[in-house]
Amino acid sequence: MDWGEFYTAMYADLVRFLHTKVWDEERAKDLAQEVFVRALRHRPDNPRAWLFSVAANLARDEARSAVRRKRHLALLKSEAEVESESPIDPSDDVEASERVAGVRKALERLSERDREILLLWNAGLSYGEIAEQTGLSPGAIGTTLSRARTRLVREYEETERGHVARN
Amino acid sequence: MSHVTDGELNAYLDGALQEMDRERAHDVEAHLRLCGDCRARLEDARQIVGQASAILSSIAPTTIEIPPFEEIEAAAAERPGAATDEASRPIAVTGTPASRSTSWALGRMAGLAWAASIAFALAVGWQGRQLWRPPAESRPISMNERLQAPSPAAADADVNRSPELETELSGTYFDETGGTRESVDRALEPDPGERAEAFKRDAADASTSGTGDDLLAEGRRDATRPAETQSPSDARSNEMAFRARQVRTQEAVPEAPAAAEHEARAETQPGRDSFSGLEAEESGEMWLSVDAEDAEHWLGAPVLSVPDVLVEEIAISAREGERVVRVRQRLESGLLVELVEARDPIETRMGQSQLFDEVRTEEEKALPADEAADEAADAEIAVRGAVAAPEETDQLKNILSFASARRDGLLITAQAQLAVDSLRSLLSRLR
Repeated sequence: MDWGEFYTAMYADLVRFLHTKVWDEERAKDLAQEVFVRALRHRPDNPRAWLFSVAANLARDEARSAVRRKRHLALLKSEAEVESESPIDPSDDVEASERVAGVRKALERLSERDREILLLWNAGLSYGEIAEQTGLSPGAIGTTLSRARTRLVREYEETERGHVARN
Repeated sequence: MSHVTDGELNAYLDGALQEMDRERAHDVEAHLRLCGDCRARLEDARQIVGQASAILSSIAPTTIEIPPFEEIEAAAAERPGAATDEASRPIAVTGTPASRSTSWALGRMAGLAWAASIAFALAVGWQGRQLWRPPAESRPISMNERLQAPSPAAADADVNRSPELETELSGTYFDETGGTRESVDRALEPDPGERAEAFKRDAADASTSGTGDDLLAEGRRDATRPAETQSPSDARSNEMAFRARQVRTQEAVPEAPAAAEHEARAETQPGRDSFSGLEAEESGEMWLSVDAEDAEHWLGAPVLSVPDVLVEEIAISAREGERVVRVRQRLESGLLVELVEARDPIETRMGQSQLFDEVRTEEEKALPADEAADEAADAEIAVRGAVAAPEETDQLKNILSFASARRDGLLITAQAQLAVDSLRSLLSRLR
């Protein structure tokens, strides 16, 4: 297969997928490159599913290490200082960053599995590919997506309502 | 025809139903023509699908520049070492059946935030299908297979008979001698005749050529080899190296061709569990016996052990440049429990990364009860690989159970010559 072509076709999808995991565009890009570096070394048979699987894994590792770093920081700083530091969002666009925060919050209210499957579908994987990657039967993907989408919409609307009420 | 389910409506709207099951798709279309209720539900579902998609699209980065492919190629070419790091294994989202009810935690490691990643860790290389198979098909491999089986046939030996276990079996099946490693799916479908044959062979092995316990003991016997390049490189570790007893297993090191194959497979098969102490020894890794304080310093985290159980050895190592601590404890019965804590390989590499907010723990707690229960089931540490011995042999010696967990950037693997329940009980006391 032409890995260069594959890379060009998949890079943006992978960055978008990773962005919903790490919530930092630059990190998402770094991780996406890391995933492709690994893909070139591994040359997996089913590269599409492989990419997203490894990306999810890297993002999770990333999240975990961030949690630990944060805990370490918390030891050194007052709670208030830590609060004021996060979340990091490089965007100056307040509205955009609020939207991101809202979506993120809504996504985090989903169960891990539902979230993962929704994000994999959103990233362009087929039911078959998602099934292969997650171990769910292809028939269960629709049910999971149905639940995940409904919950996402509901939670997002609630977040928005809360936001409007606060303002 | 009965009404169309929400799942089918979603699959239909996604075009997946038509792709996967054309006949069913036709049935659904026929039903939709006749059933107003389902048509209304289809429209509702269509709206939800659109909204969800819009929500997710609204936050996607808008401009994504693609770095030149040559840069990626160059980075891949430059990277040293084997490409078998932990994160490069394809990992399944944990699809855990509701029957997994016994939630347990590794002592103070309880908490959904870390626990949710455990099933993730365990699902390494696991395609998940086995969880939906009838229990009778599940099969792990035995201690003897793991340590001695030189061929795929031998590795097909033994069948797990414990119904209680079978919903929890997971993980990539691998033969640590380097001879064979295959997916669980393969392992789950052994030829019945061969299986029975291997059963006998396994029993014979147990009585004549020793068990994993013996091999573990042999690992400690050879204490005179000089330190090798895998040794940690900082000053403190050098100091430790002088004081340390150096350990290496000779007997279990695979023959050269097998080792080469092992390495080749490691490159190409991401579904590899590289956190077994046994495997580490077989791959020639150097373990240095140290005291608990040094081990904690090495790991940069508390070294876990089962309280009130004799600690036979604490050893440190570097595995592909990452820090690893192994604790071996001997139960009163003489059986070994081994815990391996490894620094997460990603941790070091991503050390420069930005801090970002992570609130999973709090968020997870806020889940409604039903989903929280679902999450808890997902988060449960699966115990895998336990093998019941044939009745005619000493059962305990033929059992090897495994459990893995991820926590705070550490990967923790436990294995013991114990039944799964016993290992679970022991690990629940970890601290």
